[in-house]
Amino acid sequence: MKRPLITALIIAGTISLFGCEQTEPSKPIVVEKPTPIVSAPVVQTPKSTARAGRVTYELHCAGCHAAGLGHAATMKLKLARAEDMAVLVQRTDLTSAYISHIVRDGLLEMPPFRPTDINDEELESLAQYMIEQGKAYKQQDTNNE
Amino acid sequence: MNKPLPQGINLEQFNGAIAEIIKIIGDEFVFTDDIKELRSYRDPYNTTRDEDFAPSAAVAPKTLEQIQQILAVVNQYKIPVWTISTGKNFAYGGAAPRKPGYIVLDLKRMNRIIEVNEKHGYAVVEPGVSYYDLYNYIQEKGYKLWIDCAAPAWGGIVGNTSDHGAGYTPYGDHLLMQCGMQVVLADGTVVETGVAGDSKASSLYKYGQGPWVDGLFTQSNFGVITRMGIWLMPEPPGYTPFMVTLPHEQDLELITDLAQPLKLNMVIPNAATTVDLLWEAAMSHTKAQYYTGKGPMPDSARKKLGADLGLGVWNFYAAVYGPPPIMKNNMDLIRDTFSKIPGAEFHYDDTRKGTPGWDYRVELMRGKPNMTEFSLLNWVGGGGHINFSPISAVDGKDSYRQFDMIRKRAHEFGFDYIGEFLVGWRDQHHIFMLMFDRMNAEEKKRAHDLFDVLIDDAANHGYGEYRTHLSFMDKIADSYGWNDSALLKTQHKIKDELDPNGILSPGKMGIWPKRMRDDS
Ligand SMILES: Cc1cc2nc3c(=O)[nH]c(=O)nc-3n(C[C@H](O)[C@H](O)[C@H](O)COP(=O)(O)OP(=O)(O)OC[C@H]3O[C@@H](n4cnc5c(N)ncnc54)[C@H](O)[C@@H]3O)c2cc1C
Repeated sequence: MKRPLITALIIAGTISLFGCEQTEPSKPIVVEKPTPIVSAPVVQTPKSTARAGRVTYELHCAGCHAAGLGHAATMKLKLARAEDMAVLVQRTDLTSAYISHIVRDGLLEMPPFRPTDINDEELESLAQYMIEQGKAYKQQDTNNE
Repeated sequence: MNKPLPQGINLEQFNGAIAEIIKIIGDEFVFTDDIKELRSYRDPYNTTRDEDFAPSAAVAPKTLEQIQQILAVVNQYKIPVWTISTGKNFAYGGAAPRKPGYIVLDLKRMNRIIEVNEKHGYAVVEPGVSYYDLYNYIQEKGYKLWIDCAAPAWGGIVGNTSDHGAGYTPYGDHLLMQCGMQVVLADGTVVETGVAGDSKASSLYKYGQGPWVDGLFTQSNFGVITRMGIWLMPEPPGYTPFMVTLPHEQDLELITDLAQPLKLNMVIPNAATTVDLLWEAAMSHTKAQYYTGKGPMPDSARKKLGADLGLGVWNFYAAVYGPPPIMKNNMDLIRDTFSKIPGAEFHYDDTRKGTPGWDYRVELMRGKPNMTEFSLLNWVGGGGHINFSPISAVDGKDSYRQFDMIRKRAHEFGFDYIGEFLVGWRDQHHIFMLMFDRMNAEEKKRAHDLFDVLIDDAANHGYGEYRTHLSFMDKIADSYGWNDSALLKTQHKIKDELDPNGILSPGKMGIWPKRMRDDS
């Protein structure tokens, strides 16, 4: 049999390939932008049982909704809506009521979340967190212009 | 829609039971509102009506004692409860019960990581611990251990292992890596398996003494698992993931036969995957970007898609682990082996990094949870999906025959074949992701019919499925009907003995309690 052309990198001499993707400490999935003082919203302190909005976001939302490639919902929203609608924490059109409704009801590809995944209190702080993030993003965008 | 109620139970009895459960766990953790609370306990993606799997309530205990007390109540009323852990069993039914009216026993709040042992490489967790939770905990503590996760990060150790799930590191066969469990039986008895008592080896030796019963509590309805030991892989000194793209459909045969000895001899130690073009493409693209017509994507569009994305008709993923000299040795062997396939191309991190399809596999093969695979739901849009999952041998002809059987039927019914073979040690899980628009009733029905036919086709070819959706549990149990259904009859005998009132997850994998057996 003719030896096929293999575009493999020859391993010897490319030892640097080994060990790629070694475990690095877990990075936060969302790169938090500093919140400018002017738009700093009042953060509701969740009760002791409720996790802060950011934690809930990272645990339940960021996997599909974070910025960048490899996030199913971000990809979908970009195609179905628009580039600037793709990342939820960069939007300013989301209201707490709307976020809560979608979380509990699901939407097309997205399943609803159970009250044991995210309880009502956590949902409220999640919505607040997402809205704050959107505002902060917008503010920074404006500052950068 | 009328309030779904458990079979044979009237509203008054139901309310009575709920009132008693509220006394045990508090109002806050008993959910009965069909619209506001219980939508999340139905399967949003199924192929039939929403109400086919609508529970009457969901209850979420926090402790073992609360579970015992809840079981005492439902035993008294003879109300079925359906146990879930992280409850993300999408493609197989999500958090939903087998029949309308059951009460879902949601263990998500039992989420303690009881132990992580770095020296011996294991964790003991409660049912509510998700892959994200365990991964984050290990990172925080800086333990040099890897978890093995299923593709969806929000799933969890207990739920996934209970349903015989699989992941992608060398520890990919989850039940194989499970060691010791705590189970509550229907009568409230708590059983612990593994080595007795507080032995240091209780999470190290699976079999204790006497018959190994752990398996009885998986894919079953014989008990409620409340704790599980799971082995964790020590972080290796090196990791080299790779992908081999293959240009022809028939290459499935070649790659499978060539991979088989490498897997059997552990040259490739991890759960490898042979992934079809569309699955790969769906990680970054949708069907409509390449084809807007009806039915399966035609070859011309597939060719363009493959060329644009640098993908093969099949794409084989695996990795080598260990100190660099060992990785080099194994990689040389692997490269020499797969180089026999004309047109095969090897790919590594240096050129593929940044491609979603590559990136998420690289994470999964080292146990880093992510959600990228849910991009599959974008392929046709509308999110509906159900998995047809037959087992095949790691054998070229067998794989191709199975692929061809499914692909032909899928096309006949107007759907794409989107699939992967998860190459285990000696078997393959062949996963056909049947994607459809869940808002389109006609398409849903067609998907259902296709699935139904596939079970018959598979049975006729001598294939069995490893797991299935709620809708098809009875039919698949029937397909294991050798010798006058001796297997199912045995399972039913155990069921009757352990759960005489038939309260635990009736119908799971076709196992029904006596009182529901006739009308199931
Ligand atoms: C895009 C996509 C990719 C997927 N990839 C994978 C994959 O790579 N590997 C894989 O294995 N699956 C995969 N799945 C299927 C499924 O989503 C996962 O297996 C998921 O981990 C199951 O959900 P869970 O872990 O939350 O388990 P749960 O939903 O909590 O449990 C699953 C089932 O196990 C039983 N069970 C749960 N808890 C208990 C208990 N305490 N006692 C007794 N019985 C119990 C119940 O019958 C329950 O329905 C995928 C699905 C989709 C849609």
